[in-house]
Amino acid sequence: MFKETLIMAFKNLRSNALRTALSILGILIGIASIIALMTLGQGVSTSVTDQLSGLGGNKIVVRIRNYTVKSSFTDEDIEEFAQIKDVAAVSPLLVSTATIISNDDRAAKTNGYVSSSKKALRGTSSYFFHAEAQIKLRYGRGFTASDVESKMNYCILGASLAEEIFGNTNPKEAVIFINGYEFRVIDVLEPISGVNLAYNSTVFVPYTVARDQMLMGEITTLELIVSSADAVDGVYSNTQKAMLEMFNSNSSYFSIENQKAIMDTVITISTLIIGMLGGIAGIALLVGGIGIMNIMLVSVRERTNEIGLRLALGARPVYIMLQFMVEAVIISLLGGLAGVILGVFIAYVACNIIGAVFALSVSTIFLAVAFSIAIGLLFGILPARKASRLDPIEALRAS
Amino acid sequence: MARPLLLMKSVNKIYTSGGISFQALFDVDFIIKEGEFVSILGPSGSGKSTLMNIIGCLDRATSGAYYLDGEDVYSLSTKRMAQLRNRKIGFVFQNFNLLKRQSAMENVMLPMVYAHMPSDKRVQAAETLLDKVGLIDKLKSFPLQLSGGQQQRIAIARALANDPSIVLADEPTGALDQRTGRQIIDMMKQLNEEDGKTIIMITHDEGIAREAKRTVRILDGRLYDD
Repeated sequence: MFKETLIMAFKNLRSNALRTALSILGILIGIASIIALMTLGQGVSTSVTDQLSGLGGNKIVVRIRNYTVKSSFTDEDIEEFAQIKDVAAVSPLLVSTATIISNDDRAAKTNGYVSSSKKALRGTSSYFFHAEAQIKLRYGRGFTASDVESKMNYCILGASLAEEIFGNTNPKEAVIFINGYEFRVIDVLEPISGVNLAYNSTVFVPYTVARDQMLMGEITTLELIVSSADAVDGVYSNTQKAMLEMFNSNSSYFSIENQKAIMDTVITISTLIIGMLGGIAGIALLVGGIGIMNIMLVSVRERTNEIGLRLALGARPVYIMLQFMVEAVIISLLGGLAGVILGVFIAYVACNIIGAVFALSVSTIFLAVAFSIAIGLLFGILPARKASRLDPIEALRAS
Repeated sequence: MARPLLLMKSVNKIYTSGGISFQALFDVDFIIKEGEFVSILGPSGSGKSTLMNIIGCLDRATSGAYYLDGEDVYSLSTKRMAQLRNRKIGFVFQNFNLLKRQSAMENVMLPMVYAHMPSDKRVQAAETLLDKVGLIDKLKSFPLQLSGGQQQRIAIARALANDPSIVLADEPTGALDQRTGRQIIDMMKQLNEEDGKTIIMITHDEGIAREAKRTVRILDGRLYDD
């Protein structure tokens, strides 16, 4: 019985090929837009999250804005921030450029020495290298608290910088000159990709040395690295309290940047936009569904005589209903499947153009297919019921 | 003495529409025995279509009793009535009422589909029936490729599909020329005489009606046996 119904349905749909194709197109557009937008939305939010977590979603940056009130953060201030619950590390942001010269035996020398200019120089605390997950020390040495306190002339090289000066040799204990100051290399960073790419060609020194010996200026910016992303909000409010105390309760004298807040905002906005576009796509799908209903109603009207005949020959009303439901579902399912293919294709192209991560979600596809079947059932039921409730005598009389 | 196949007792049919009632049948008593060929003769508006719809189980009487092949028709649900139509009545219509997009074969098999006959049996039975009406060479043809007479023969084959108790023909020659109509009448007579099929034929044409073994007249909703 079902097989005959199916064959009959395909026959009917094929005999009105153009009409069927247009109804399919309605659903296709709706499903394709939804699939494309959902996949694209997923891609954008994944990319944004990836990029921003590279920036450090668990990082809080505090800055002095009014230097007459407070010209710099002191060692004691740094220690105070370090004591805040869930703060894994506090590190001053003390940045400059460096010219590095070395005549060490291991250096890739020409004319007896190697020189490298316009490199980034950064003064850091001892915590810095242990707080960020992306940063890995090749020899696990890093700076100790006493290195910082005793203002040791130790330095740590970024991976590409180390390679530039020392090739593939182990530069540990090698001597280099940074802007004329003598330093000993104690460690090298593993190569880093992503947002912290710049660390590869940076040389790190203890911030005390940078400030007091190299005279790179006062510490006006601090990075607070929070032990976990969940703790960011708590640390943020405690940091704010501490800052208000230091700056006479005037919040315009300083700023606190919360990377997680930026990330959250971006994700919220992108989710909102995708949701809105999804809503519009949903309307397109709704219109497609109404198109199916419309075409099925026309079909019921055209086939009134046929319905009457079938009823007279002993078709139970439920079979008539089944007949029209099957046709509606075939239209919506074909539209849905074609829509999935087109939607995935659009999303793939769009993700490549805007540089978002293209990730095909199987659940989205299943959902879309299930949704298109549901559309067929929903919008097929009215015409199908209408057909099944026809009076056979009246229907047979129609021509 | 053959058993009564169709038994109607005091059947009335009243149509009500917009507060106005119209009685189409008055106290119809009607008995048809197995193997009869009866024609129901009446002019248009006499109530013969109403009577046909009631005999064909397409409509219910307002009052009265109707037994078909021992079954109390008015005790049945709509669904069971559909089954009864399917198994016990073979319809032949004035305009053939074949499905244009289905082949001759598929048209003949349609009542068998609704009777849940397995498909291999359907094919076999449909071939036998098309052979019987002389159209075995046309089984793959579509209705619009066939003449009116051929279409009506296919309709007769379809009417016989589930070996019904009664073949109910409504003006079966009404859309055909005289010569072709004659062939259809002959075919029905042959079915009655050779296979013992019970046939009820509704017509307004006296000459056609006389071809049947028995004629009843209907006038203003009342039935008169000749």
